[in-house]
Amino acid sequence: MKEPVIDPELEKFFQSVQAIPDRRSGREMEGKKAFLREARLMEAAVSKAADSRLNQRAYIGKERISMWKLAGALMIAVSTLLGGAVVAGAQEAMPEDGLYPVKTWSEEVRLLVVGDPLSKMDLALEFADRRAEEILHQMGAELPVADAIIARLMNEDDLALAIAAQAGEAEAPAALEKVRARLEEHLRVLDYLQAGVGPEENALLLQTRQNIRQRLELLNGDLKDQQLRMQILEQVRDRENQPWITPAGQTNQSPNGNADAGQGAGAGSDSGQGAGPQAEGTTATGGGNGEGSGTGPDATCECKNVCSGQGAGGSGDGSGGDTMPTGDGCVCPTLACTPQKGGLKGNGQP
Amino acid sequence: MSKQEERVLLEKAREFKPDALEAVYDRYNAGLYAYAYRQLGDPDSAEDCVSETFSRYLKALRQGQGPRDYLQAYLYRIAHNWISDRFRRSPPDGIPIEEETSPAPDSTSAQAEQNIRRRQVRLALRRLTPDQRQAMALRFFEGWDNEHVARAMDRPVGAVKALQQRGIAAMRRMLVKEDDSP
Repeated sequence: MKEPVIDPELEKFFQSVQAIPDRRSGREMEGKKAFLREARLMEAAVSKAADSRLNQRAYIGKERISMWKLAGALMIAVSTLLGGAVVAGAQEAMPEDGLYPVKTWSEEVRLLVVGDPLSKMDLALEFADRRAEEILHQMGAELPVADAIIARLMNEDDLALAIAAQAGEAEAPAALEKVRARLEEHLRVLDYLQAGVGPEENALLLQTRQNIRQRLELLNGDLKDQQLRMQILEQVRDRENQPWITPAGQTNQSPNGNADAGQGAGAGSDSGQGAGPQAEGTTATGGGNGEGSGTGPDATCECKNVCSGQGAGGSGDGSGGDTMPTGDGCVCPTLACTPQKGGLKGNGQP
Repeated sequence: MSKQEERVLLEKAREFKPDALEAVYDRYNAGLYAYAYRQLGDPDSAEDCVSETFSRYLKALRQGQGPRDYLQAYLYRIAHNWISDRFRRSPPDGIPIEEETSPAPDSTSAQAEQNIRRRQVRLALRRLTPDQRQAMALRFFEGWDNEHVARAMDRPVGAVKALQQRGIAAMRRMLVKEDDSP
């Protein structure tokens, strides 16, 4: 067949779209960094899945675990309480591993003790990256992805976002930009998860992707704009009012959900906000870093974030302030607050 | 880059070697951006297209897939699919009338005319079938020869030429007629 040619008249039109404007400064470099970071995340997930297969590591719920292995896991759990070495080892644990709760618990503690807000933001982003990695790992290993991981990812992203939005004038734009880049990656991971799930609906997954998209829309604006930063904080707070699915599959009007078990570490913000755990969700003045055990299996987790000197009593999971998800799966939205007087530290009882 | 060099690069990329992945990104991101921008007319959407294209490439690698050669064809195919999805989802009047970017026109009216022409081309492009659009864009906007276009489209060269013939006829009907109208 003859080579198709375009006549001069049409050529004039085609020429009009030849010129490309200069790419916005830094976008190419940002894109490359994001691409390489995503590659690192995926590589880690691929390596771990392959490693698990090679070592024939047991998958709880999928494969039988011998009594010896179970006893071993229990021994490790006990020694975890006694020594930091095991905690360090647990950092590589995946959700199907026995040590995974140790990993998440130690993350909560690390978030609790870090003082500098921007360091806390970095830490929250690092943990959110871990959640993304865990999702990819679960998919690679053909294991179901627990809602708790998705909820945790969102909480950690929101914590980082809230801290970045409240950073000083000088630091906030760069901090928000950092969070934006990570949110984009996390959204990609969740989109990938959605594609893997297929048409089957997962309310939490849909909602989380929607939340991240909304945050990204705002983050595409002028990050130096104080008003925009307030909107971002509002958006984070609004998540409290969304219908939510707990890891146990219950739908709640609050993302806080109901806890199935009432024990966990409550972590108030480093700046004296939030409140400690209580048996029932009560609101109390003051705030503090809370840590303590909640009530029994029917305890209701009702952790609200208040940043105006009033702490909301979390219960069940012992959450308050910018609490991270608790060990029992009860997840609370995260907010970083400004320092207030009268904040309690210690057991977190207001 | 020779075929052999490309195969070595892609093999390393399949192993998630950072230097190989970086080389892949550096080699193709600007071209993909231009390809997307010419059709979409919006820098942010073009950036989204580039990042999503590379992200899908990584996902393919992660599943042990992805090309062992002709990466360029593979990436442009992903970008084309992304753009087609985008066109399906958004209404045609979503195409922005962009700021003037080309160096030539001296007067404001010439600039306005150029902007209108660009918009018309993009609207006409999206009215083509996805295959016609891909065949037209790669050949006449990106300047590929038809061997390469055929590889990117996974079609015989003859079929690509037929698509281009039909595409040219359709665009001529839409553009030249519109241009002549008062």
